[in-house]
Amino acid sequence: MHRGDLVLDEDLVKREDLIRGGLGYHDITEKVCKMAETPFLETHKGWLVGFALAASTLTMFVLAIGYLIWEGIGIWGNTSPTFWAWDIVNFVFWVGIGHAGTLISAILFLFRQKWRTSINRYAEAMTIFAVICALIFPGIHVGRIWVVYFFFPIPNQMDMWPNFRSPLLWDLFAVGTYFTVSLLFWYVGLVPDLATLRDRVKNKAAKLLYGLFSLGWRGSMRHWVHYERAYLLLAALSTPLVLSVHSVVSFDFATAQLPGWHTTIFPPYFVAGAIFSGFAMVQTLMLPARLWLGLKDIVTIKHIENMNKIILVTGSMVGYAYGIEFFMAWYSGNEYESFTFINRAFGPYAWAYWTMVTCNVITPQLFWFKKLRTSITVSFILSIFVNIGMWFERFVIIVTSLNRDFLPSSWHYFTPRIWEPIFLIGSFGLFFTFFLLFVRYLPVIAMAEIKGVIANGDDHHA
Amino acid sequence: MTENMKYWRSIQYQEWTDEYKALIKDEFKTGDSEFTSLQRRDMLKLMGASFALAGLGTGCRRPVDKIMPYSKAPEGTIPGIPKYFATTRPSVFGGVGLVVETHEGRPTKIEGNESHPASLGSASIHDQAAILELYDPDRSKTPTKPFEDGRIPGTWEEWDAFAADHFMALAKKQGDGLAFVFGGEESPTLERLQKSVLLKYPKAAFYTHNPMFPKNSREGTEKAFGTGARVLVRFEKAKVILSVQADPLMTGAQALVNSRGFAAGRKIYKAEEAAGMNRLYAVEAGFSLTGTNADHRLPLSVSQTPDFMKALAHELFPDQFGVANFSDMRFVKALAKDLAKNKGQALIVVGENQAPEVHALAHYLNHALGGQGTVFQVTQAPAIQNKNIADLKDALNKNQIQTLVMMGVNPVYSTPRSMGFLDALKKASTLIHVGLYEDESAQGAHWHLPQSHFLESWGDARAFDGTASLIQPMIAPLHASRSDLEILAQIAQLDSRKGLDLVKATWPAIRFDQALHDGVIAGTAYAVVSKSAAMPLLRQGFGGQVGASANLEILFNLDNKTLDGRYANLSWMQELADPVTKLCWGNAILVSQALAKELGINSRVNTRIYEADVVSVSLGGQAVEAPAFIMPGLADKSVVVTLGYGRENSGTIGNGIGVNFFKIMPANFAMTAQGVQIARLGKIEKLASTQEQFAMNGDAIQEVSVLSLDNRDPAKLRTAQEFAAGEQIEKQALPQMTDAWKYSGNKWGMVIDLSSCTGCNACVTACQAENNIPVVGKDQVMRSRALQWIRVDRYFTGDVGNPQSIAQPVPCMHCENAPCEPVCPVAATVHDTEGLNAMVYNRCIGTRYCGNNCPYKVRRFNYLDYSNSGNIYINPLDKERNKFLQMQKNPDVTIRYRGVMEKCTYCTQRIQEAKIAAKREQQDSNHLPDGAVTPACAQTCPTKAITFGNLNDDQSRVSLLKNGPRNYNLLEELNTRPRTSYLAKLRNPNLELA
Repeated sequence: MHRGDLVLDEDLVKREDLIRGGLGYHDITEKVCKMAETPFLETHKGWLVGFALAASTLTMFVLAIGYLIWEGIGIWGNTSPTFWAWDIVNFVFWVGIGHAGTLISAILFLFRQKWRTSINRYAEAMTIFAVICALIFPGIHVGRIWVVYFFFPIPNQMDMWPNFRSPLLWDLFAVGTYFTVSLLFWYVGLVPDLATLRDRVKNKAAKLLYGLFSLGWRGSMRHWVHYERAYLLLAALSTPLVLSVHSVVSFDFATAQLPGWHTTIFPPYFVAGAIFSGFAMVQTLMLPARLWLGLKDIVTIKHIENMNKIILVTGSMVGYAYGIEFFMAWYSGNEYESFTFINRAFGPYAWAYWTMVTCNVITPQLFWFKKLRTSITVSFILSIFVNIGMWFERFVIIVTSLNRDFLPSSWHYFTPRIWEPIFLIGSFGLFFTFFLLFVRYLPVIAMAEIKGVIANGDDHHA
Repeated sequence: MTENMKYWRSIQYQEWTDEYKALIKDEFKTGDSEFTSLQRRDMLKLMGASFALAGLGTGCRRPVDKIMPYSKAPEGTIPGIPKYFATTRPSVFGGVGLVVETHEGRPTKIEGNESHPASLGSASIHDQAAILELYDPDRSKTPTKPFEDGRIPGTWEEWDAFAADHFMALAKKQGDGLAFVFGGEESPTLERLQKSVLLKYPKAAFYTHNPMFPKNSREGTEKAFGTGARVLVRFEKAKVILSVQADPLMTGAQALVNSRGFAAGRKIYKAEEAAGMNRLYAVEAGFSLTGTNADHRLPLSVSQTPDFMKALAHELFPDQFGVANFSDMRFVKALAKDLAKNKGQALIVVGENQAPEVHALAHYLNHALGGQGTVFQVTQAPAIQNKNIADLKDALNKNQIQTLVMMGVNPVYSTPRSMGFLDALKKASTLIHVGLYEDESAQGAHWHLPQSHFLESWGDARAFDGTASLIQPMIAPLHASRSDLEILAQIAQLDSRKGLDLVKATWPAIRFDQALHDGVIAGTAYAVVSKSAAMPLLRQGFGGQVGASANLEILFNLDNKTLDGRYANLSWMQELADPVTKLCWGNAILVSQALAKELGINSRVNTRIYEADVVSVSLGGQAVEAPAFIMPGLADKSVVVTLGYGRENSGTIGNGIGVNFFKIMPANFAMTAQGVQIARLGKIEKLASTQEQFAMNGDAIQEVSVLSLDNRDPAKLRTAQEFAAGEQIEKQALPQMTDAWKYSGNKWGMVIDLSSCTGCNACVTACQAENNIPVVGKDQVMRSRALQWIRVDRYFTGDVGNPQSIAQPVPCMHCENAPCEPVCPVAATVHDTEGLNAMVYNRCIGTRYCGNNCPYKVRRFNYLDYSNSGNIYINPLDKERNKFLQMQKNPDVTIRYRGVMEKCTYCTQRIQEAKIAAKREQQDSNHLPDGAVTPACAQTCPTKAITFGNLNDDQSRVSLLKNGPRNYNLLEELNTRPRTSYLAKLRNPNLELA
């Protein structure tokens, strides 16, 4: 078929190809499956080094959690006004990161943004792992982890329900639901690709496992019809979740009466921030990976630019939210609120606030320049900035609001101890361990989907 | 050891190598546990690893504890029902009558005895902390004697054998060379036994040593009113009170009584009563608790005070006193006018750092102002003959003393180093030390004998007004100890040496059981006499004190918590924030901001952690290093230090905490000295405080003063004049979206009167004792994790040079719309049927969300295992310490495990107790009568500032107070509807000075 033949394809003529390098179906399969098919002994050295690093960090994390449970959460620096600190900062940070995947998969899918296919698998995996990291923190931060099951609405001898009025419970349900649906969505999308791998791998055990998880996929028309329907439904189901989960997380703060937390702007502001941080994290992971995995033609500069545009938009939204918070603090005439915001910007944690503003509001504005947003290096550096900035955003919201509230007699400057960075770094260990395993053993690009968007005309030489 | 060793235990013993000597020296070492020298974390790692290994093999089981029933129940004991006994805490200021709660024979809490004149039902922090002293694991447990370089345990039999020989020999010499040193506590039985000793040893000498002894004030009184005269002040009758370099509300014989009397003149409930409010002036170099309560305060160095007094005398009685040279005459004139206007109701009290002549002048002025019989009374007490520690040192140096018996005193620590007492002590050939602890003075003693605590022994004591009362044991001695009376009886070689018999013999004519029951012996107070005061001789300089000079002066004050160091090992006292500085776990040298600037001292505040510049403080050739703490309101040329820290042998808690300023104190125990040198050392030390200080740097002052006082105004400070003029405490009518819950039965509430509250901290200690609140230690306090359920917030207002200070006790508010409740995911904090905001420890999983959402920040979280850690977070596995400490625990209150939130419960256990009692009497437990329940804080409050009761009862005291015009809710605008409300603070300024 010639691409000039159909009216529908007219825009393709004008647009850049989503996939470059003249890749055909087979090329894509080869490229994507290569990593998973590499025999164990021939594993890339770089991967081994990375995995060793990640796994050691994970081990440190596990040991640190063990010590935390043994000794009590007093090993952290949390104080009496600042009852929550890095524990919840890390939680919100990871949940935020976990937003991009489903957004890319579901919302962009529904909006027929075909460029998403090159990055969605990657982003979804990132979501799953980030949410796992996120879920660990509220789990381990409680004082008595051995009775954490009180949280769950399960029948018990005490005849007690959890308190459904508590935002923490909503949080549990929201994040739990999000995790479940994201996992299903990711897995459903994986099925055809797992079948491809099943058909290709030589190793018996791998074949068995891929076979097991590909659920007998044969690629028949019936399968495709059901698959597409299921995928669409899950996308529709996930879409509201993308918006709800961080809204609910923001309720943890918004429903409290603490100045700096008690604001109605939080749900949209948190969602924007989450998408912002999620896309930045996708960039942080994707940019090196496309280099190392040789996926430059699949994840093109156009993808990167698109994501940078989203970062620019959401970053500006976040900046707007910061401004509005200040405006409301003044406009409301509430002296506690005003004090909290003045204290944020000029109090003892001003350094954290201005770090946040620099990273989240100022630097993303560079993406107005096409030259910068199409530069791999700039994109990578800025994505790191955004990651840092978004961690500090949560720190600023949580710690600066808590450390000075209503009565000056309770004020206390929070200082972390050695364990806080260990837990944060440890969670990255968990994240990267999962991620490296994913890169190594699963198709990092949605092969089946991407084959649907390649310009299969003259260029294609299957 | 020697070659002629007859018996030996092992080859090493026989060879007597150095190695072996070291081994056995430490074998039974008492006092410090060796484990505590390990870092907690090291210990934990070690124990953690071994526990994990042990756990792998054996699995986890709870430790087995057996509860035994009584096979033969003691008469009148019902298990689970506490019993209360009256007793007395002996003190150099006079005994304080107490009521002790005991559970199955185990004393757990100390309260005041309403019938005792020094208590009036209240107990100070020290009275209450005595319970912890009883159970202190560091108390000495056996007699000890020197061995090589250290000490080894001995037995009482050995002592008895020694004493029989030794004192027999002394008796033959008529007691020549025998001397005793006592703590100066007045006790009729002790005095009787001293006489018995003198019968046996006519040449024996008695000395008194107590750094707290009010020497200048006694001498001044005797100068004014004759030998043996003592003055009792009655604040409740006074309209104008002037406190000169004194702290009558915190220290001294009458602290509790004065507080009650002072507050009585401040309980203004209606606008028309405001005119009757008393007025307190304070003239002081330091910032005392009395100063924080003053309506007008004049920072004035100690050395300028005599001039001030002379100027005041001149203003009051110009025909009798000449003109004096004093700078701030505006203050003096206004003050004199106020005093003169209130003749008969005006009172001047002078502090210990003033010479006796100043005291005598004050007495003269008081008398001349016509206050005798109303605002003060003169009583006639027997004159005290005992010689003091300086005499003892001289006698020792003259080799007049061979055998010295130290009875419950610790002169090696509590004497100025420049006095050289330790060297003098070495001249005595036999030193016998009787004390609760194997303290500094016990180290060189040939015999250290463990003394029974007053809660385990019989005795008696006299109160400040002479009223005698009995001391009865609450429990048999925990360790092999004997009381001071018993040991004295043994030395006197009396036939009857049992404490009870000794006390009974002193009081043959009284109804003994009645006296035990009442806690006072009726009719024993000193006679009140009417005497006119002698016109004082106004010498230049008043007893060596010179006038204003450019030199820096230093004040040596008793610490508000550890006093002269005797309570240094009580963790409750260490962790309690000083009422004025809010420092805990250590002391510092307090300097004014102006002086700090001059000396370049720049103590950075990192909120609750003060990174204080360390300075060297030198005086008279002696020097110590101490952290400098910038304190507002001090006289510019005065620096203030507190005694009672830097102990070396106090025990695990107190050793090495703070700085020992006895080291630089002048040899004559002068509480003030000129010419102190202060120099920065360039080092930094961290100080712990429970509250952010405001006077540290410019920014912090701005923040706190602007926020807390101008805008937030936590105390809703008003003047009496404004109040009389009908100025309202603003109240907001806040909308309620749903109908308020109707409580059919009891509906509890509390009111705290900020005008009455002096900020003395008694409530904090009461709560700590009642509710089993652990102590967390300096490190954890610096992390802001102190657990005390009630805290006393301190705010300053006004000029940094001379601010006013406001104390505000903050317990849980038990909000009706409690922000903590909806946010708990597991419903661990809920309202109960009587309106309490209850905390269900079993249900709590420790998300700490409630703490975040509490605007008053009254919730406390067990970040670590504080409860099982030996009363301080040293080492959670040190079970040995806990064995004693857990005996203090109130069995009606749950011990909280780590990981749970806790907070004030309004003493819910007391509510339950009252309800059960009502049910037993077939009364309606849902409508308890007013006063049936009193939480620990309200019970002990010396000023009765805390009122608790049923809000459903219109006539209950709490309801009446809540309906009064001064009532306000803290952070009312948040619509939390707190049940604990406050009565706005009133000051009564003199408009001429305003």
